[in-house]
Amino acid sequence: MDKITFLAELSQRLTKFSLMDDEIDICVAKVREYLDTISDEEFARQNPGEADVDDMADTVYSKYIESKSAGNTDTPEADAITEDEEHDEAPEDILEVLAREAEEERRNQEKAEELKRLAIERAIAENDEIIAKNEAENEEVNELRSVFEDDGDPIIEAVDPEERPDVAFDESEALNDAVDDEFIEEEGSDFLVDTSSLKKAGEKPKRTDKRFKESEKKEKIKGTPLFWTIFVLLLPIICPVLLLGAGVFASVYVAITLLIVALCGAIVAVVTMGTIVSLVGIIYGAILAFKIAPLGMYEVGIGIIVGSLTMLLSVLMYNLAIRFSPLLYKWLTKLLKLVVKQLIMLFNKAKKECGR
Amino acid sequence: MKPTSIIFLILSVVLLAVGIIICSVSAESADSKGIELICDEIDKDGNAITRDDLDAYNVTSFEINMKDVDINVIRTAKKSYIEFVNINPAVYDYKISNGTMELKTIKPFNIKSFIKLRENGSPFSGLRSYLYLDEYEDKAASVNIYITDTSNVGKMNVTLNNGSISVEETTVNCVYTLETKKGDISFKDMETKGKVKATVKGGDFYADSAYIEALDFTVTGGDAHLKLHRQCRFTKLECDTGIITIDGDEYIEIEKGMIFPKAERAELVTNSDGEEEVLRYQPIDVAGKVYDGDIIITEIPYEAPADLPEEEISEEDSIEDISE
Repeated sequence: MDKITFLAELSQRLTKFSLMDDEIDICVAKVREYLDTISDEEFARQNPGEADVDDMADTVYSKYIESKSAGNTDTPEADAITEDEEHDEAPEDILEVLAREAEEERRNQEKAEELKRLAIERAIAENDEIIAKNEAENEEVNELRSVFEDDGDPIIEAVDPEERPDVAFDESEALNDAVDDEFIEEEGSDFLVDTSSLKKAGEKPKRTDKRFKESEKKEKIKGTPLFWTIFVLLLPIICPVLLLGAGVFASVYVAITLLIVALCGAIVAVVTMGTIVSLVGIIYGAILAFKIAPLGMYEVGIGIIVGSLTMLLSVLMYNLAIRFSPLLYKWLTKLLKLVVKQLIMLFNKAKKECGR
Repeated sequence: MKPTSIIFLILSVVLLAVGIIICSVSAESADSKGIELICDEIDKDGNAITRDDLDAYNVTSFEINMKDVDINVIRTAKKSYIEFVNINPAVYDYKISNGTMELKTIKPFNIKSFIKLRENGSPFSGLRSYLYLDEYEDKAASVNIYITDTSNVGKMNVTLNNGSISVEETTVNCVYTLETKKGDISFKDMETKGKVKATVKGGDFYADSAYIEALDFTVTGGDAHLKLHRQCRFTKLECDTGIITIDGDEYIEIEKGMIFPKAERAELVTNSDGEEEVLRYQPIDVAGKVYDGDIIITEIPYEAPADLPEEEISEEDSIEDISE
């Protein structure tokens, strides 16, 4: 391809961009000026192809648009600068320029992607940390919320906002505040992470629970004299009942402890006795087998059965004592906590009923 | 459960299966060879019998203390031995020391009786006897002591919680002290020059054609039946609430020293020179007390030897008939 053909092809390519004819001519003229600095032999040696024409068209167009947007296209200074720039690039191979630009663009893209990936990872890590930290707290508050949902909030039910504005509060407002998107966006905006992922991770309930707790603390009610009078009068009944309940729980705790101790003792006894009996059976059977073979083998068989039963029982008792019994402690503690909460709620409800 | 626990569980189940298979195969093998698992033999009535020789131990006395078994002392011709019928070897124990055989009922799972390391006595019966503890529960259990006339047994103390005692046809001179808390005691066709003391509760006392030099019995909640073929001299005979019947006549009290029957008992025997001579029997000394029961005394018909001179019976020896 010679220079004339190259320019004709370039002109044709430029028509595809939204340029006027005179703008195309300007661009072609600039390229022609550049080509004039190269000898025909040198041009022929480079032997540019169709792709080179396309690249040149893209480059010329982008340069033209840049200069145009800068508003310097018509000024002689701008022309001079453009000429200077083109003269600076002129000694270099056009293909090398194009390749370098493409490489630069690729690096920029990779860098941007790396930054984005790091931001996402950091956001996820922080999110997981928040979830783990508040998991136990969420569980408790969810229980509390379920109680509220089941029975209704006795405090809210009992207090008229118009009569006692200091005590009553708007639960719906608290809930709306709790689910405010601000929290979520605050958490995620630093890292440009999709906020929907944070919502799924359960951060919202944590905020809501905190609000619940705070609101609970705020809404403490002072008992009326009537309430305290009734309370004091009922103390002879309440105290024994509470003591009885505490005694029941304590006795269950003690029973579980004794069960564990008994199982441990039983394990020792079973293993000791089982081993002795098993060995007696096997040894006696082996001796008897020399005199009366069937009876001796029968004894050996019984010895093996006793040994296997000993192993089976001891493994089961061990797991019962060491693995299962502590679970009983845990469940009992949960039950105790629930009962205490219910009692506190009952106490508060009684206070409010007396305050009406 | 941890993997270690699961591994041990699986291992124990496998061992259990192996043990069961070994037992099944051994039981089959024993059955095919006619070997019983927990006794020496099964008789035609289906009773499980275990025996041990007494002559080998030269037993001179017995101390028996058992529950829920009958004790039978029987005369035998050849050799003395003891026989346990329908009794699991795990529930009894005996040992012989200084000629005394101590036989008792034991708790099967008592650690002391579990391991029996001794020279003379019942051996360790094996774990199989513990496996079949209830095997003979529905059958009548008894201990049969077979004694020859030449045996050296001179003393027999038997105490039973529940069970009967019988002594039959023995001629060995032995002192018997027998007690049962629920059951009968009977002597039949036996002779001994030793004393006999029998205590019966909740049962009857029988003495049938027995020749005992001195008999002392106490019966509570039962009757005493004496069938006499010898003369008796009653030293003490009492009934708490019942009556004493002698040959059909009823009495409330018997005087000390009275003799019954009236006729002297004697028989003709041939001595070492081959001459016939009259053997006169001395009266048996009998003392007895019965609570909540009766005493019934009958005379076995007797024919005196033709040439036996009759003796007069003094008035002191006569009995007072309450009907008169």
